[in-house]
Amino acid sequence: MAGSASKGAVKSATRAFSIQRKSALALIPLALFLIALILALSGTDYETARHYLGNPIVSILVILTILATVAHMRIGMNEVIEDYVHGSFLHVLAKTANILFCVAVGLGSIYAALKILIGF
Amino acid sequence: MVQLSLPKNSVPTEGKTFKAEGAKRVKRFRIYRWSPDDNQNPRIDTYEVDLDKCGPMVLDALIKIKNEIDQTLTFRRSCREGICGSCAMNIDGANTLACTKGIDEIGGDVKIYPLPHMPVVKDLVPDLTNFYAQHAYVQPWLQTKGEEPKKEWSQSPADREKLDGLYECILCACCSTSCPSYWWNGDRYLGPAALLQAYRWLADSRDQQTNERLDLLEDPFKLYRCHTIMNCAKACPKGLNPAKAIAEIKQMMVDRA
Amino acid sequence: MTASYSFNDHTFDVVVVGAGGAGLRATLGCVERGLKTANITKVFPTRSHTVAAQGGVAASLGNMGPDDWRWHMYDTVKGSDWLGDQDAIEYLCRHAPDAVYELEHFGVPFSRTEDGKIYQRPFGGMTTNFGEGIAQRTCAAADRTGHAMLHTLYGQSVRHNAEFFIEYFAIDLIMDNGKCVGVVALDMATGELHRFRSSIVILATGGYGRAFFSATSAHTCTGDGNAMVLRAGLPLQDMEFVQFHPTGIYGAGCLITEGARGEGGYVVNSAGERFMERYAPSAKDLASRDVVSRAMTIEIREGRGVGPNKDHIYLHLDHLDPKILHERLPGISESARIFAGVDVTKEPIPVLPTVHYNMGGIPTNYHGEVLTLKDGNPDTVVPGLMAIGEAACVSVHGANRLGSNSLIDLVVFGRAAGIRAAELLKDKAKPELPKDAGENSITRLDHFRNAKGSTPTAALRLKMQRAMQEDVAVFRTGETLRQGKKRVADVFAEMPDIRVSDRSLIWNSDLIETLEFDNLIVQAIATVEGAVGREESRGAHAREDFPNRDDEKWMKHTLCWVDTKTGAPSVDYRPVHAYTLSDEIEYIKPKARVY
Repeated sequence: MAGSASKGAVKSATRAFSIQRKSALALIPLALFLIALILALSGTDYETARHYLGNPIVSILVILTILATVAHMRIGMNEVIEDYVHGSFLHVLAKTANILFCVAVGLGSIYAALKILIGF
Repeated sequence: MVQLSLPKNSVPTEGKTFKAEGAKRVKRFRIYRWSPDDNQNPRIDTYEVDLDKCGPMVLDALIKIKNEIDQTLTFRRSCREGICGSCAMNIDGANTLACTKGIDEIGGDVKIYPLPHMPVVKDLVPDLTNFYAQHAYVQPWLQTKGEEPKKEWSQSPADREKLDGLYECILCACCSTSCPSYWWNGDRYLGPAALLQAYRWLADSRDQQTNERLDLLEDPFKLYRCHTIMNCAKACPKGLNPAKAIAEIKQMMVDRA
Repeated sequence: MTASYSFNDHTFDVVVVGAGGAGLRATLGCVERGLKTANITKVFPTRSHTVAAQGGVAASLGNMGPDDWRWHMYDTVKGSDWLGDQDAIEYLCRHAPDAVYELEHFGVPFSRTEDGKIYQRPFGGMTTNFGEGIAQRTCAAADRTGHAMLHTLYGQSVRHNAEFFIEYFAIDLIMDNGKCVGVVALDMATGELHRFRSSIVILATGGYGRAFFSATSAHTCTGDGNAMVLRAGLPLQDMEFVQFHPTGIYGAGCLITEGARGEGGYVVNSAGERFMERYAPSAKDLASRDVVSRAMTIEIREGRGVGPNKDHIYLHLDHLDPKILHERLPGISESARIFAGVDVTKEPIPVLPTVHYNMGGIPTNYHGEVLTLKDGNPDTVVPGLMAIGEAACVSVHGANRLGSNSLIDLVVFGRAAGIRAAELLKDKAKPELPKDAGENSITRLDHFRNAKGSTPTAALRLKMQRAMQEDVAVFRTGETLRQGKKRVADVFAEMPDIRVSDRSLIWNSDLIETLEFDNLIVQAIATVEGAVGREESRGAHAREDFPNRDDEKWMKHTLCWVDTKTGAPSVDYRPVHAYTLSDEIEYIKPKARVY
């Protein structure tokens, strides 16, 4: 048998699975909201779009969508890496890159949303 | 990285053809052959079988070939009625038991390969050592605490029914070796067969080691490599559904977290 | 021919050969008692033929109504047609309930009654109150009881870290002056030879159904242990008693459990008549197997068979509630669909009596110790050698085994062997191997590995199987048996011309099948020889020229030795034990056997 994973990973496996399922569930309404938002904003000018995105409710929903998407994306990509990328160096590298990418995308997007909302 | 193409020394070559002279109803069996003795690539031998003089199942044809045409053809078989799980192989592109697979279910040539993605010992005989070790890993025995009763443990028919669809597994390995996730991570992912058995004991109302059993499966690989591809359920020659059992285990994991 | 072989040497307290129900139970018992134990098996344990047992395991638990181990004992004695040894039968029936509870504690998923107990079904020949009513004594896990038991026993072996040598083919025993000191086996995956030195060898190698053309037995049921015993110069017992199961699927030969009739199924002839009412007015379809098989054979012979050739019988289950079929007989419903193309809820299953079980085998006492007739003592123990399960002839089944008495035999005597081994091994030094230990195995292996004759093994095997099927059938006469004897002897004479085509040492199944055939042919010789000699009808041995049981002359066990070099058999006899183990039950005296 392959050696058991470190105890550190023990809890995180089920937690990851759980977050993956919950974020998927959350993304059903959030994705519908996002589609509706994009349809509503398509064809409007920059100022109008900015105005809508500055609405607190819209903004909060956008931030939630970003969080759920990024969480879901990180775990999903992590699964793919665990499936296909073997060899410890490449494996760790790919996982780290995935985390950095997701954090960067997440932080960047949330920064943008907040900037529109609060206008700093 | 995973390797997506066959290594050079595993690419099959065209082998010998054995004709069935004078036969009216001929079926061609294209069979994977490899022996460690001669350092050659695997080859596909072609055997023509007279269906008028052969039993209805693929195993009947294999035995006929071994008895009458080529004694060196090597495969496992025992009960010939689908209960021992010896003759699991890849027939017509799907893993199944040769003894319960009718020849007439297959159009065109019958292509027979060993179970996919396992080390081959010889011809259609795969090395299942790791598969058995994974089964052993889930501790396939009843675990109770405290004193045993003088007679049987009580179990209601409803509780007993929960084991239906689980205990019937024959360890043929058709499911595990049809699972892409098992192909890529067979060394660390336990695979559908072992996990079906893990759930068989988790679902047993008499068993009292639920937490400990779940602990055994708590890591990113042993359980969570299942991506509900469902090949296992499709391949199982006994009509069982390992994917469902795995989903039940995951649910138990989340519930106790 | 100059191939040099070398041994990988091992030393154990006990070596068990075979990992079916009996072998696994014995292995467990030995490991539990701290004995260093090896289990050698030619197939992965869960592939052993115990896995195919369907109907159940008999024990007087009394879950469905009153029951008593004495009633079970009476039925077993009567089923055996008084050829069973009653001390051994008492041991079996007394220990049966505990053995079943032990299985349940191991985890066997038995079917359940409404109040949560183990479900028990009626089976042929099982009665209450010494033959009065019908007993529900057969504990069942649907119709996959053997499968459930074998997988559970394997799980227990894993739990106890038993040491397995899987896909090792045992070639021969190592004997030293009449004492068994070990066994030699071939590792099929590598072709390497392994020599096991051990204080005790337990043979649990099963029956030899494949000596016949049509058998419910697996391809691997070749009685390898029986043949090893013959080659060691020891006798086999009661080999003429071969059980035909009434309901093998016509054509395929796959088993349809007697439990099908236990749940209410019945057999009919071409007139649609439930003919068992004529042959066994009281037990009807649940008469003993030999009785039902004979009745079916007579019906076919007298022109009342079904099908275009009027050569088989129908088994009806279509009147049963589909829910019951689904719950209690799911496995045979599947088998009937696959192998007979029949939907059991709508159509009858075409069936035919099919070779199923060997009552005969290696003579043992109820501890599992192998016996031989030596210097006038018919109970001489062969030191270091034990046998259990279908390979053994304890004899609890006598001339005919009752359905579901086989699975209980496995666990009761598997357990007994473990207990006895531990007793025997108290402060006992391991035997030294004789100088030439294992040479006999090398000679045998090398001979067949290089066999360059002109007849492939399969051709000879088929000849033997045909002869046995046609001449040692349900009904026998002196004439057919003498013909059978000649045909089998002719096959033996052709052995020097055998050809093995595969020269490899890696997973050489051509070689293994040849070694198995070499094992089968000597058992075929012993079977016919016993049958020719026994001029009476008893249990499964039905002589048309001697239609009655003759207790005066034939209340005795046949012992048959076979000179494996010449194929010449010789016969002697052992008395049947006409006593019980305790005074809690008296010897059950012979009387007419009517169902």
